[in-house]
Amino acid sequence: MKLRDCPLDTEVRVRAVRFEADVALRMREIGLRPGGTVRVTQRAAFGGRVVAIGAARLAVDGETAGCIDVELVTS
Amino acid sequence: MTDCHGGTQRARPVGVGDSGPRAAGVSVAAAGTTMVALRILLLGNPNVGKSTLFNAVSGANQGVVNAPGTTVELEVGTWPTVDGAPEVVDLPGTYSLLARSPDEQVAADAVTRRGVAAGTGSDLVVVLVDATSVSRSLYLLAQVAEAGRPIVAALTMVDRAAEHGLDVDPAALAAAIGVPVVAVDARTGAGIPALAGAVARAFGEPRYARGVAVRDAPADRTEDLAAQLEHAEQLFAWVESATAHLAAPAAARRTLSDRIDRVLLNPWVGVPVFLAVMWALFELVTRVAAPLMTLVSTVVAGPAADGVRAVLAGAGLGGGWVEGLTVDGVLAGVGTVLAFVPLMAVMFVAVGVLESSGYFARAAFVADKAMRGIGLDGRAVLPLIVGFGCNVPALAATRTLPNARQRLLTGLLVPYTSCTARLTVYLLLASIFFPGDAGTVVFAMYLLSVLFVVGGGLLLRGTMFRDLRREPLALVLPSYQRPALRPLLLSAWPRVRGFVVKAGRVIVAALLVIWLLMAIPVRGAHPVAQVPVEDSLYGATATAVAPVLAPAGLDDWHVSAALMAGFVAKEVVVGSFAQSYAVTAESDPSAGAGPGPGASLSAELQGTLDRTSGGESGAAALALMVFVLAYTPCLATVAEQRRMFGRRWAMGSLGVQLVVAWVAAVLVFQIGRLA
Repeated sequence: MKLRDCPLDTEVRVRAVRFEADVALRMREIGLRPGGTVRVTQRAAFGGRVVAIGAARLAVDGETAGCIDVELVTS
Repeated sequence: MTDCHGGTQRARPVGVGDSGPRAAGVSVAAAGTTMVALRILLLGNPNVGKSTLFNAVSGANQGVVNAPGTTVELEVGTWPTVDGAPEVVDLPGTYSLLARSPDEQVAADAVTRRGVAAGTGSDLVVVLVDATSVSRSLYLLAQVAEAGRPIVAALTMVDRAAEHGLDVDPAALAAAIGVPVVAVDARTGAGIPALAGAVARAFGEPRYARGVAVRDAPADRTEDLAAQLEHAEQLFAWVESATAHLAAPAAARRTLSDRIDRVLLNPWVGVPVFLAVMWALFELVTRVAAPLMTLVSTVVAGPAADGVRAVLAGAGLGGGWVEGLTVDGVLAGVGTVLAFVPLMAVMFVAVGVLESSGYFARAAFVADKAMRGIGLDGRAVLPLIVGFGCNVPALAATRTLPNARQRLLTGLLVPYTSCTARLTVYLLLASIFFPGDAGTVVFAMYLLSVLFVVGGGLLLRGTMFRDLRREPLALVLPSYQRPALRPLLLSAWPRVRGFVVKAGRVIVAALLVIWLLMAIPVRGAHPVAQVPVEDSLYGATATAVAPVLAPAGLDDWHVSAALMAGFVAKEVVVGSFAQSYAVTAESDPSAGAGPGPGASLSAELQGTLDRTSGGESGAAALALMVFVLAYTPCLATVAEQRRMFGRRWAMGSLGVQLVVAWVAAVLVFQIGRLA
């Protein structure tokens, strides 16, 4: 599932961040890391999403949200 | 950064050859030893409260300087409550020392040994740790530790973390990472004395992060990417172990900021709210600041000028060229600069309110899609909208962009946003030449202005700014908070002062040159400084320039003289027409169509353009409006561009604007007369 398709207020785990290596590094630096848990808190215009990473909030545009693979946290 | 010191600073002697990481600073030769002023760098992620902390510790002892060899501005001050009042530098916010923009590179260089070599290094780095995002902050702290710098950590946003059920204990964190951690709230001043104490102790007994090896070669983007990623993973592992003692935030807690975002970022509400906020900002520039500008101008041109004239008359220098030079040259120049002060102050404070409230990041998020279409950052929307009010504060507003190249690109486009001063010219010409369609014509000018910005943006991105990559938007949203006025004023003051001192010099000098051109007679027997425009060197220059405008149907010295005057400010174009035709129309365009003195200006302009255009005065008037739209907005804009981006870019921008204006005006006239 893509982050863009993720339901609101549902914990998901990041499986992959599909960008070029240098962009992927920056994504990791700001907290979007494979294995990390995030939660979509808001849907914005043009497919944008606000995600909660711990207590922080990160806004990503629709295109970016479509490049992040996530899976539901089952436990 | 050697020109940025203020106040008394403690200095310590260091021996010859002590040029390692801890010997950076400003050197002053003294009796065989080198005295080095202590320097503290404030480093942290964007929106972590760094500038607020800087304002809290330095108070009014601060100024703005450019980082050496760059157009990146740094706020530099002193920390008077630490023994010896060391220098403190507010570095650009960054998530990493692996820089991805010129601003981040300045921060990275200052922290690493490259900064020592360049004289921008430090004795101590105060790393701000965001309690709502400790891991992200500690990653940056780990990179500082790798550079071998002593560190004091300032823990911020503790109250915000508490909203999420996060309780970050400074003592436990300090024990985990090995450097002092002091909780601060720069908005209230809580914790600042304790931080000053920790900093003072760190000078005597430097502390280094535990468990991070110092690297000989600093982190660098030129490294192999795989190596960077691998190394980053090592740092993330250190961060994880250092934060293992922290409790996870309460699950799915919805904060006040989340609830506000539900409205302000809603797909249907977010855009209208954003447009309303931008409209309010535009109104602030045009309606609130404009009367203040007028007030300052009136005081300078009235009581101040009268006072100077009286003093000169008392000294036996009244009525001659000395009075003209002093009042119409120097004082007029100073008045022009001072008139912009309220506008700049209002803009700096307004932008500060948007930033510190947390809304600015949301505005950038909402506008990103539209701005991305022309290759700009979402944050560029603010200066471009402000530009439709006035270009000068719009240039100042580009500072909100986190990348120097993005600031430059936006700063080059701002002059094409049609400021309200240009509206006076559109209204005059539209009411004379298109009385039935004046509104449509003026609206078309604004549409054309948008086209210039969009076209210019696309053109520049495809040529000189190809290095600006299209990157995915991932923007950290700070929590909403009520802005504190004092830090905003403290931050605005050095920026306004910088404008007055640096841009002001250029404005006054240029106005003196123009006064001189108008004061020197080239025809007739006029005394110096009492010359009709057409007989002055200015008039002769306008006459010489006029044929250049012939392809646009504007070959007349009245027109070229008005456009030359418009180089100073567009507000004076209409007055210049009135002056050169010796009528009193002033700037009331409605007078142009009716009887009375205004009718004279209308008739004169109609007659002139009929003659210069071969009977196609409508096309010529449109060409004139387009020229006014596209060429140099005003002297203050050029001066501000020069201050922000350097002389080369300012002059290049000016030249391009003139070429664009001429080409566009010629095209409009040539096509218009065929229609």
